[in-house]
Amino acid sequence: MDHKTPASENPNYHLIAAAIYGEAGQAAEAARERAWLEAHAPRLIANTRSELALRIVRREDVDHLMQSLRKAGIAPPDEDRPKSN
Amino acid sequence: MRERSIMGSPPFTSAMGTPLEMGGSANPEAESVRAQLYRIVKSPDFDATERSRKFLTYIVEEVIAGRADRIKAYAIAVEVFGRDESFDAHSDPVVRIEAGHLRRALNLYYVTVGVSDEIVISIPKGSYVPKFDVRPVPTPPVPVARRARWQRAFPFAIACLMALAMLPWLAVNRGGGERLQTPALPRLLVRHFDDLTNAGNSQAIARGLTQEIIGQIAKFKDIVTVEGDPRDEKGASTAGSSTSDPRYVLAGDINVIDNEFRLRARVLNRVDNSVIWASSYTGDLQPSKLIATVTDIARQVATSLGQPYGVIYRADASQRPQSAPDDWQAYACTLAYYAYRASLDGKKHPSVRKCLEDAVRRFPNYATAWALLSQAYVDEIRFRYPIDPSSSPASIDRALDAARRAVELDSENIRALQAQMFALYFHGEADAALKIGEQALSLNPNDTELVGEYGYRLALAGNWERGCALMSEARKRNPGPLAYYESGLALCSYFKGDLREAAMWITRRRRRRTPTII
Repeated sequence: MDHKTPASENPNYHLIAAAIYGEAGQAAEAARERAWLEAHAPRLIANTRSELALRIVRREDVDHLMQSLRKAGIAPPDEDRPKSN
Repeated sequence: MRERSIMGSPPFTSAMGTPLEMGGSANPEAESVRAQLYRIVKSPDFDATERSRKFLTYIVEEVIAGRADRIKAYAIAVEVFGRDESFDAHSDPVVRIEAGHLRRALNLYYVTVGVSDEIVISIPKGSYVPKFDVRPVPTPPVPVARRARWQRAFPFAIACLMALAMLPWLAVNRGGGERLQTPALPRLLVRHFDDLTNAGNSQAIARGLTQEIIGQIAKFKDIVTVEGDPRDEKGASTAGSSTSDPRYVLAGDINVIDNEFRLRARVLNRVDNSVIWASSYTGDLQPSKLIATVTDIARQVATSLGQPYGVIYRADASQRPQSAPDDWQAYACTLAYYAYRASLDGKKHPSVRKCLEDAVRRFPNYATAWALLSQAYVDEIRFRYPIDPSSSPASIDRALDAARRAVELDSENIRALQAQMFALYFHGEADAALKIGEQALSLNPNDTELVGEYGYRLALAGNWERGCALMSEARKRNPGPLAYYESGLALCSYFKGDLREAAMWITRRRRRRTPTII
């Protein structure tokens, strides 16, 4: 069934997708997600860590996602140390 | 207070309706139908695709133009769907399928956001010619003494009660203690399964399965399960119209062949005796396995029928109200909530929230409505919906309060426990949230909605292994319109380090255009 609301209207979807594509090295897809987030969810990008921490309990899981998001070109203002890798 | 049909060609005119001639598009009735049409197609709460909107516009405009007789699958395929002249309705079901979506979308529209619209546009089955009915405008409640006359004219009664539903809670404010109504929850009559073999232990299996299924379905608190008494079978077969009459019947038969038994089960809509679901199950007769087999089949049946987005939900979501609309309306709010959640369309959120707020004001003991309202409050925070300046700001406290109220009303209501789990989770109390989720899961492991949502919370709290297993189970067992959990499964693969699989899930979701929940 064809819903009239595409998944792409939900910012959480794009954040997960950006992290996955970023981590997987799919640069074109990651860039597409980043562009969408910058256009539609600037506040989410500005507060990524706290938004993630509201949903994801373990700090290591949040760190991992933040790292992948950086690889997707989403470099949220650093309230945390960049994890060396 | 008469319901009348306008512009309907005779076969589609209601018994009480008065067909009116269409005098061209300058006709005021044509204008009001057209206004209603645009109100629907422009409503963000009308859950239909662009194509469905075009479809509706086309058929309504054709009737207004006096060309109702030309509305056929072929014309629709060519005019609306851009098919070429070789279109053959027998081999290409596109129009029939789209009409099904459109009927459901219209039904949902009129029990939710369009509940007080005066003109009702519907597409009776059997053709694609729309029917237009005028519903009465609101008037003060009718005194009890007049009800007997309503019952003789039942179609009027529905229309009048619809009008009452538009008066915001007037009856409750005036009546004080007079109102003891309950929401129009679906009632399912479970008939004792027939024993076709009548040999060996076939009768015991038939009886055992019936009892086990009743027990399992009864755990779904939004369906009232009624056990059919074999002695009343005749009486039970006369469909009635009262809310206390079952809307659905589960019937079945057992056949024993060699070392196996076979259950054929079906669900009927009691209004027209149509079969809305049928399935068969085979089980091993070996004594050591028999109990486990019976339990397993009962769980499968209970899940198919009882789960949110299951058989009963889908049947209710696609039908027009059968009962007094205030109680139907409260129940319909829960259906509207599920429809909103299936699409996660933020534009629908305000009307669903309002509907649930009204429902709990009307029925303060309706645990499920409190639970879904609590989840609607959580969603404002979770999905960062823009806040309507006319309403109070998003707050997790009111989500916690509503969930607590739901659990106080019914501590075994899975939606209530699920709501409490969500509210606690977003309040930063993950451990307490998961404890409630686990408790709910042990109460009803067949509630796939809970299985998936609890699994998701469990995974996000760090227990990826078990949480992901539960999400995967929910995705397999829930045949509903949503593939809720694929974004969760994408995260599962991501945290497992399997990026190829993660990308597969997330890309699949993009193609399916279904929402993401986190």
